[in-house]
Amino acid sequence: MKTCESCKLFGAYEALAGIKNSVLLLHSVTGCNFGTLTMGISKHMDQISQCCTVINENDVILGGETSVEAALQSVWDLYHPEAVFVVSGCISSMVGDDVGSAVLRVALPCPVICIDAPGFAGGMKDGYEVACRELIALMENPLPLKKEIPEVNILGLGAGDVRLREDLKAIQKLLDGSVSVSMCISACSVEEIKRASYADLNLVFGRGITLAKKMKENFGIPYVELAYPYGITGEKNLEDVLEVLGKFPGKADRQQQAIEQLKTIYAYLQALYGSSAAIIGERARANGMKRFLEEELGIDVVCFGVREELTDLEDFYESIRKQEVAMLFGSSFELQIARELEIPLIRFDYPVFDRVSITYRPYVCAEGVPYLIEDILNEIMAEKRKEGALYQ
Amino acid sequence: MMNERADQLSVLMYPSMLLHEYGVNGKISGSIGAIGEMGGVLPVLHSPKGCGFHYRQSARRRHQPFYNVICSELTEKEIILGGEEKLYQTAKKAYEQYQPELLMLIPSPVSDVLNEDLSAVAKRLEKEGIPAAVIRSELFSHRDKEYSRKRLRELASQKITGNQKLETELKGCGFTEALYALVEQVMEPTEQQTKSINIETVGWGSEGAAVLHEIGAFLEKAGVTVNCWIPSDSLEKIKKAPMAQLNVVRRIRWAKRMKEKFGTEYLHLGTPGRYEGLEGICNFYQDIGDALSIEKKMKVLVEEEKEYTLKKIEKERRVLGNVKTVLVTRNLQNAPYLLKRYAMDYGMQVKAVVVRLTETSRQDMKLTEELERKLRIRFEEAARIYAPECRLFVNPSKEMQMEVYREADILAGTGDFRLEGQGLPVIPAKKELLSLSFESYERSVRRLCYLVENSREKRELLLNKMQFSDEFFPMLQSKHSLNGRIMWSRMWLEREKWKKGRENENM
Repeated sequence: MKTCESCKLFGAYEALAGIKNSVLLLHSVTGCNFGTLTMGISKHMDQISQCCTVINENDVILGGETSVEAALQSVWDLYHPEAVFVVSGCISSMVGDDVGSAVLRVALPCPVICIDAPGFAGGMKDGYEVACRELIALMENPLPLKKEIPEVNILGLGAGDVRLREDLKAIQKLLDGSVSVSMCISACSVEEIKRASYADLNLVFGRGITLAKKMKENFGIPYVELAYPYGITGEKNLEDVLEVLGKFPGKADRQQQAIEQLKTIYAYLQALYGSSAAIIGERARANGMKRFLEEELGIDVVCFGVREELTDLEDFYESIRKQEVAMLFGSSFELQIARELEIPLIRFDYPVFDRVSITYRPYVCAEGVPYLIEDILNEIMAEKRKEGALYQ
Repeated sequence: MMNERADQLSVLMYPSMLLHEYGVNGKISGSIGAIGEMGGVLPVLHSPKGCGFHYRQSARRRHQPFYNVICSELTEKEIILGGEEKLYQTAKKAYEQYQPELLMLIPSPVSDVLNEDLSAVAKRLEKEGIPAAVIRSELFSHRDKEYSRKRLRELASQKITGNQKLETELKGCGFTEALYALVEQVMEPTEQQTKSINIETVGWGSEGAAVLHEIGAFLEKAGVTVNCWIPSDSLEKIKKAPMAQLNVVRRIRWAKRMKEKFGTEYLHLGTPGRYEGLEGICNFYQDIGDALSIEKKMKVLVEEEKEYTLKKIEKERRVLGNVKTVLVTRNLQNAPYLLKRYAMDYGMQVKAVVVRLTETSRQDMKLTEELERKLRIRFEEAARIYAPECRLFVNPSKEMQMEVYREADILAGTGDFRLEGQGLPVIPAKKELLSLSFESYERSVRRLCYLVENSREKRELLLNKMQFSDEFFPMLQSKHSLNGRIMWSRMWLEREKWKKGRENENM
């Protein structure tokens, strides 16, 4: 009925689109290319490294492998990338294109990773998992190496995430030279993927668990699954996890700094306390937001939906209608129900296509708390209210 | 009524131009765009879940998503066993839950490859009292890529003064297919009412909604009623569309079919040049009057309104008449009309038209020397009629450009902000919104006059502190992004050439 989440192809795209020095080639119809671009373009207009074989009728009848070959050759001529990711969609899978053989025939002098991601074969998380899993082919077998500081990989972030770059930077600042980030899926380079096998720990924010398990198996790297680190609780959770790496210093001063900033608007925090909210989002994000709202702001989350577990968006909307909800946390698509119920929408989950983010305003950890609260309060205040007489 | 300026700005927040440098939208967005205009109609998309999730935000609706998209969410099971039953169940459930007046079943490339019989599903639904129509795929996944080239070729062989028809059909855009489905399956034979017309709504530009209201109001003075705004009307009105004597259309295929099926004549607004500027507005109303056999009455009204409008803006036209301008464009085929607008409709002294043609645009449009020669002849013909002193420069050198600019008080007709800071104020093309109502003409003249009197050169434009590609303007000069654009050209417009090259290598 009303679809809750995107498909496998978009999931693979989310994992791969932000990898520097690589090119993402969609072996699919034009709609997949245009759709993925539409969702992501506000975040990287200056760095678009995707293209499409634009499957047409001839490819359906005669097979699309020559199109893949022609596209790959062009990709090499134009970009000389360090890696190419070929993501195949529904039609190529249905007509049975042997993309792997096409890749072998072209024999580019860089790694070409094929990901089979037909939209009918799974949801966004499935696509993300399969794309991440294939990245292991790029990773080096780690040699014994003496490191000055421990390293972590971050899995689960996507190219279309709200505030991807800002959140990643906030996490890096939190680590503050005590731990370094080797690789962050969707915001890294090919070189960083190659060296990801040297990490000491994989932090998995909801997605990428298949790769984490594989890396444990192949390289002995442990992994921890976490909710997205919104708020001071998110930061503490991250600190607790990182303690296993040894010398991770607490950042109480940063947390205190956030509190000091919030003192200037403390009455608004009192207003939020005891209010009610609904959340819909990808699992790790939704869980992280729920924890932040409930534990740190004292907001009752009376309606909670994990996008990949829902079957009909309308069912979730119906549950919001039945509850006393004062604000909604979701994606840009939730504007419909937010308008219907005349409640503010705080956009935090994929896709967000009606907001831009160009300044350093992260949402995660203690540093992100003032920004997140600022946006929550501003969305509440911007919501149109009655004009004229209040009781007519 | 909405604020048109704010609405225009809001539309621009969807970076359509940039997206179209890298691709074209799939046909589904056209179909959803059409259905989103209709009241009481629910789209049911027969596709995997990704299409159902994302096509709510479609290129056709730009800043305004259409949230109520139902999807059959095809999975591997349906790919193997067929998905008609799932579509039927989805449609039935959607009808029970939302109680729409009509379900419109939309195919996808996946259902096309499966050869799903959507019509059979619609019939089954109809048998159970569930009204359903089917949009049929005309092309596999996207619009006809030869459309613009074909149109250019046909246009080039037409005289500038001629009123020849240019009825190039666009297949596969999804939008026309939806209108076609309305004609075939939804509209009902109805007794024709004289002096009644239908107007196709989508494609009227930035002030479109306001202009359509203005057109409706003017026609009312002539005793003409708008029977139906197609497709932006209630289902009831759409069903009764054949009541109209005339269709005023932008897209041709559905109108042709309606003529065949219901005998409704049509007036196609695609005739190049005929509906341009003030003269074009007069032609537009007069053609409607002619088609409805109220020529004389319409002629009087049009003359009166034209005179009244010109009187209202006498002062502004006097101001504009003293302004010397150079027009800059990247579109040789439309240069004659641009010249006509600025010289005749705004009464400005057009000193020159500078056309920038890039290698890429020549390749993309298959602009041969012969075709270019024909287009230049068209321009010369236009210059003789509208502005004999105006000269045409195609790709002049930088020095020559500067020399040409020195003759002018302002530069206009272009979106090229890089011309700012070169000694003259620039009036951005987006400020020029002349459409087919007298009010629109009045607004355009007033706006232009205000800009002429108040525009200043903008030497500190932030945009001009970045570097843009000349070949692919207005794209940023960024290797990756430009390569993406080249890839698109190769895989879309030059596809056969690149594939051939590959096949030869394999041999």
